[in-house]
Amino acid sequence: MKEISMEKVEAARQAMLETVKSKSLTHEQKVATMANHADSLLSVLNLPEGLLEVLRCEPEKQCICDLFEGNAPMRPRYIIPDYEKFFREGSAFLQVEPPKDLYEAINALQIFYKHVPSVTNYPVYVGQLDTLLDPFVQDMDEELAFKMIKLFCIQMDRTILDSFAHANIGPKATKAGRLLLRAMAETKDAVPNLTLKYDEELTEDDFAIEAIRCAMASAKPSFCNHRMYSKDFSGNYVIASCYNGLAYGGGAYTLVRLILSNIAKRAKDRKDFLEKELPYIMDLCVRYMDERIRFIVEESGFFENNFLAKEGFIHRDRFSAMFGLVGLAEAVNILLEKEGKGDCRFGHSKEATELGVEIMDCISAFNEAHKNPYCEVSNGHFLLHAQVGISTDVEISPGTRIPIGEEPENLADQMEVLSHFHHYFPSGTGDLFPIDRTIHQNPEYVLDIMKGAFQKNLRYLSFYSNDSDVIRITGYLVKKSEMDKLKQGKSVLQDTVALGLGAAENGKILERKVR
Amino acid sequence: MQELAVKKEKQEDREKPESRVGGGQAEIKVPVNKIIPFSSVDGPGNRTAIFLQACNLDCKYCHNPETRALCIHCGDCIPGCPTKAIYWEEGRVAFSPEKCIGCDQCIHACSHNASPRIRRMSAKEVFQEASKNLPFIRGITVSGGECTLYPEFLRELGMLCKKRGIGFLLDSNGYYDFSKDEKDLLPYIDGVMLDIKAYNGEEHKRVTGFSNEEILKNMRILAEYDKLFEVRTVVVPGLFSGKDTVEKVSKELSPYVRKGQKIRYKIIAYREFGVREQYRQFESPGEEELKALKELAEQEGMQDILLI
Repeated sequence: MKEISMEKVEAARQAMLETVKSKSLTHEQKVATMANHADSLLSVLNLPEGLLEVLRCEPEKQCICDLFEGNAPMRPRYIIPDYEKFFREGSAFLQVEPPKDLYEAINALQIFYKHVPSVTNYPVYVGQLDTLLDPFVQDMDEELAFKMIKLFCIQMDRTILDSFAHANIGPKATKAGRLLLRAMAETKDAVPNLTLKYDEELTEDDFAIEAIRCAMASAKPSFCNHRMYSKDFSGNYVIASCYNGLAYGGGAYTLVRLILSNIAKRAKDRKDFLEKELPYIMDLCVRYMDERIRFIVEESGFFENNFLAKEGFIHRDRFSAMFGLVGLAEAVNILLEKEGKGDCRFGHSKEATELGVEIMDCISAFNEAHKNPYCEVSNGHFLLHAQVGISTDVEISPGTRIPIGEEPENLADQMEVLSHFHHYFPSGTGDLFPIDRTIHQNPEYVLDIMKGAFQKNLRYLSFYSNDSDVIRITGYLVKKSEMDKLKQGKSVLQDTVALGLGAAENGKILERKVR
Repeated sequence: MQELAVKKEKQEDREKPESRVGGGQAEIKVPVNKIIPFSSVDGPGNRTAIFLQACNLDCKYCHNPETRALCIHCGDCIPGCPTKAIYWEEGRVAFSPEKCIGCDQCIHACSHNASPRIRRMSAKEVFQEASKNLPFIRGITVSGGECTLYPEFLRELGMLCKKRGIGFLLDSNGYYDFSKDEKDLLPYIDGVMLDIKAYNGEEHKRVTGFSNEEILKNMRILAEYDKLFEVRTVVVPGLFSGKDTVEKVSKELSPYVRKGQKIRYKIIAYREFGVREQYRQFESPGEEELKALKELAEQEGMQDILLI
């Protein structure tokens, strides 16, 4: 392990003391923050030369961002356990038998969740809850089943303390699926996040409508293009965290993102960007990711020692890594401005869309040419990911989204632009649409838009009512009332409230165009 | 007066050289006030809504009075247009949609309940524009003004929709004799959303200036052909009896509902928004009153009742 300076040690000690004394952090948040401070003292990765200049620098020059994964990763960033195996076989380590009824099933899940790590220490995937629970609700009193499922949802919201925890349902309607929707429409909580895997041919219209009604009440579920994901992952995928497509029984070692707008600022022109600056930064980025993966797999001991791997709930060879990006819109606008075409804006001109596609093709080809020995599940390549941004991003739009405030007047025009970009991102992208109250009377309006969008090869869509308390920030959910509390300096239960507040202040997320 | 003006305009259409296409077959162009690409309030699901200009009733609470009449080319609206989107051209008021910023100055300046922002479009042109919104929409709704002033246009647009397999609904005040057109128009429309302004004839005259005999007859014909998608009544306390209208309309339609026809009753609260200055003395009904009307419609046998 490399040495570090006493200045750094002293800075970490100061930060730790501040954490201890914080008035707004909860106890859990303090413990997690203390662990991050401790991690900051480690220095175990062999970083590629030139990386730090574009990774740890002033925000307007930062081209690569590792999203708080720390210096010595001790677990993969996102873990997707095989909950079905757990229900079939139980767990020796957890001393849990396979459940025989709904009481035992919910109890087993609650125990399991406590032991699924992630970058935030909370599970980012809590299971395909409809098919997991459906066998147990068949022969029982429906109202009792509903009450138990509702309490289960409330329990998740109050104990899984960030809203990256993601449950999946669909594509087909089930009794448990309907009960889950009913419960979440009533509880209107931020946790868990929820995705309905939607396929026009498999998903019943009335089930989709129930889901849309639930989304109008509680900003969830979101809807993923089941056909597209099934193809990308040969069938066995889940949606976790914000909207990340990942292999079942695996996950993602790491997620590092390119800040395309800042890379564009370095370039003289389009050619310089595509042929020199972007490849240079991408090369640093993938070598950094390779190194992080090497450490997790070869040195951390996670896959040898953690019960999830030892009991076969996860498999090392079903993990991949997420090659993220943000700020495509701004990068395109910056490059077009450099060409004297400042009036061509991303989202509003064919030329801007074409440049966006050219950039994405370049990134995609680079990724296809890079091999990592530990990403067998994705043929040795990383998975492209349109990252949703972080709370400190200023004038950097998530992934390939059109900047807030610049959305085309006609939603069909916006969809046309989006349809060029969603297909690049098997490990996730998505667009979100606040919806006017009048839609509560006409949920088929949303269904029609969704069907059209998926026919146009969009991947992932979220809708929420512009007047509800719980809203979708970028990929995760937060209550406006909780953000208000935090703003007044009061402590709040969930980590994601702070992220939401930052995004509201820096990312204008409350100003999206209402449809 | 109103009706005459409209009829004259239609004849003019047919006579104009630009309204003819090759082979000498007439291609009707109609005045289009507005096209809303994605609408959530003009029928089920997501639809492109087409608003045609001019109406043959004179409802006191009209929420879109600027759609009531055709432009008489007086030019009152031209000086106020900040972007010169409206201008003189050969003695007529002309309009460039691409310059328009939607400030509505022209609408406020017009004292004839018209709009200079009218595009004259054929059914084919309207269909082409609406088709850009596929596959996101399930159909087209034509509203107004009063769309049945232009039956040939509707027929042609309906045929185009049928051919493409998308829905086609009309939003109408019912002042048009559907019985005469049962072969020409009805086969090409999926249904009508029909306004019943008041059931009692005297009250209807008070609200709209016209009798409702024709409208009620149409309500029955459309229900008989299962082309009545929805009836709606705007409730305006003091202007007419909402209770009487809701009760009698529901009573007449409930036998069809019992047969399994899906006829929605939309009961809409009067709101001041858009209403002409001289008629703004009305008040919105209270929530209790609306709820009572919903219950009344239910008692009379309606099943799908929407309060707006």
